[in-house]
Amino acid sequence: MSILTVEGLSKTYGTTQALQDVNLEVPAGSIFGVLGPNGSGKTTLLGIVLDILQATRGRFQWTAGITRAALLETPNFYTYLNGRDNLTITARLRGRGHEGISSALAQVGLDSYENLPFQKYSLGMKQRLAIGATLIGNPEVMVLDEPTNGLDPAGIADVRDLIRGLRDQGKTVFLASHMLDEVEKVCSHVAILKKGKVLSQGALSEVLLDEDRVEVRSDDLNALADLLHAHPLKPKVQRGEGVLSVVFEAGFLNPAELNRYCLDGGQTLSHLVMRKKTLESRFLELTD
Amino acid sequence: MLQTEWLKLKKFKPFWVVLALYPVCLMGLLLIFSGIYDKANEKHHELQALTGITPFTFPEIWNTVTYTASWFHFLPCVLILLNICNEFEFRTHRQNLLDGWSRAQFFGAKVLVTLGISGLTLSWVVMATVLLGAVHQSSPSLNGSSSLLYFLGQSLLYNFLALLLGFTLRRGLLSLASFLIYTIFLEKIVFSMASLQFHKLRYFAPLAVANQLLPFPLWKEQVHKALSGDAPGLPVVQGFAVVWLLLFVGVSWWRYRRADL
Repeated sequence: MSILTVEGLSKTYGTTQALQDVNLEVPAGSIFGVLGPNGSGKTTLLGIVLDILQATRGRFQWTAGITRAALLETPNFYTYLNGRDNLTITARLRGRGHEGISSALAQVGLDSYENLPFQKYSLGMKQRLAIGATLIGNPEVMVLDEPTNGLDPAGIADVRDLIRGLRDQGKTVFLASHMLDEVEKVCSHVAILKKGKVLSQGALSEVLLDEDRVEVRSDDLNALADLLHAHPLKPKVQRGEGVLSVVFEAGFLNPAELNRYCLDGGQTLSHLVMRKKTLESRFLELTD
Repeated sequence: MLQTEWLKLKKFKPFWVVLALYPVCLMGLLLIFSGIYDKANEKHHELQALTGITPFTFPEIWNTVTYTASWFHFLPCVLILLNICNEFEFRTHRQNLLDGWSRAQFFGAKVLVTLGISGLTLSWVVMATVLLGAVHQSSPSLNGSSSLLYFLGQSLLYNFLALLLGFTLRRGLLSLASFLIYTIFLEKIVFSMASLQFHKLRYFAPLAVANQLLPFPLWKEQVHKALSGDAPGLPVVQGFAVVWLLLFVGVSWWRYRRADL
């Protein structure tokens, strides 16, 4: 079941096309990461589905009756109010009482700073307060735009744990980020955006595994490369530092068979390692 | 919605400073005027007989205080601009929507605050009238208090003009500067020039309509009629006041409803 469906969404600012015919399905209970370089349209996409921006074309649909919380771009709070007062307003806007405020402050480590005015918070504390605000009312869906912005490594790890905790509770998280390693650590699904277009989307494993990659080495790399070029599955062969990187279409690589093929062709492999593609390499491949 | 707005405003000091200025300025100016009038009246006993009006006793005092209070409409407008533009400048209006309010709720809350501020200024005016009447040993009377309704209409026109500018321009200083430029001279220039083409148009400009609701207190009705020349009658002015009010609210909402925030 999808918690959010986006169909043919486009957005233009004057002559700039910020989003082009975006289609997405965010499954319930998924951690869905929207990835893209700066200016790729991530925040615009989130802004539209949160009713902050108006789409030029297309439509989106949230599952009826779900509760959601969102952090979009920078943390926005009343600067003259302290952390607790700001969260009291958040709770009222969500139609909730005061009961979740203390635990939200404690969860993001701001319980000892709750009486400090927001304007005196550091960037990391502001971001923590914004994340704390999203926890109030225990919403079913969280929409987070660059949630680790301004956080130190410990804060980033805390956000990662928080998102994993939300996943374990069966909640859906829809997040935009350019922190690829972070996304890879927590997301179950991703969509990769470039210049407003979705280049690839789906379960993380599907997006990453569209090919099988293996590194091989023998005493004669030139002879080995010739042999691999002649392989009936026509793999791509790239030269690395003392190794050959061999790329097969996803699902077609059998390392044992490849080893036998090389041996039969007169090349004894001294190195054969399967290489899982990282999200970063896949991302760069798609967006370059 | 008003409770949420109260949470936002209760610790916002500039708001309370400007709010406190209103009764201080109004009462101060009224005491200065009444002092001058009383002294002049002591020296020239014929002054009251000449005008036939006692501006600081009931019932004329209603007109005197509401007319004087009309010079301070800009203060509540500053409050309204502060309240709206701060939300845009600190982007808290976006957060309000992300946290669960609809655009209609956010807009409705600002309309309620504007109405609340108008109501508050009206209550200051009532208090100032009763106090000043008491200083002049005049017993309170509702006779002549219809001026309060016209004052409220005038106040609403000014305040909703501020709301329109706040929602349209979104920047505090820009909105305030635009408000002052419009109220001080821009409307007069634009509508006077337009009147060269379209006769009487200057009487129907928003603030011209607002100002016609309350006549100068020392003028008797006959003097007022003689000086107003071809100006439209009060019912027409009242009708236009309602039209402008609806336009201010309607355009503000129309602009906000579909805007990128």
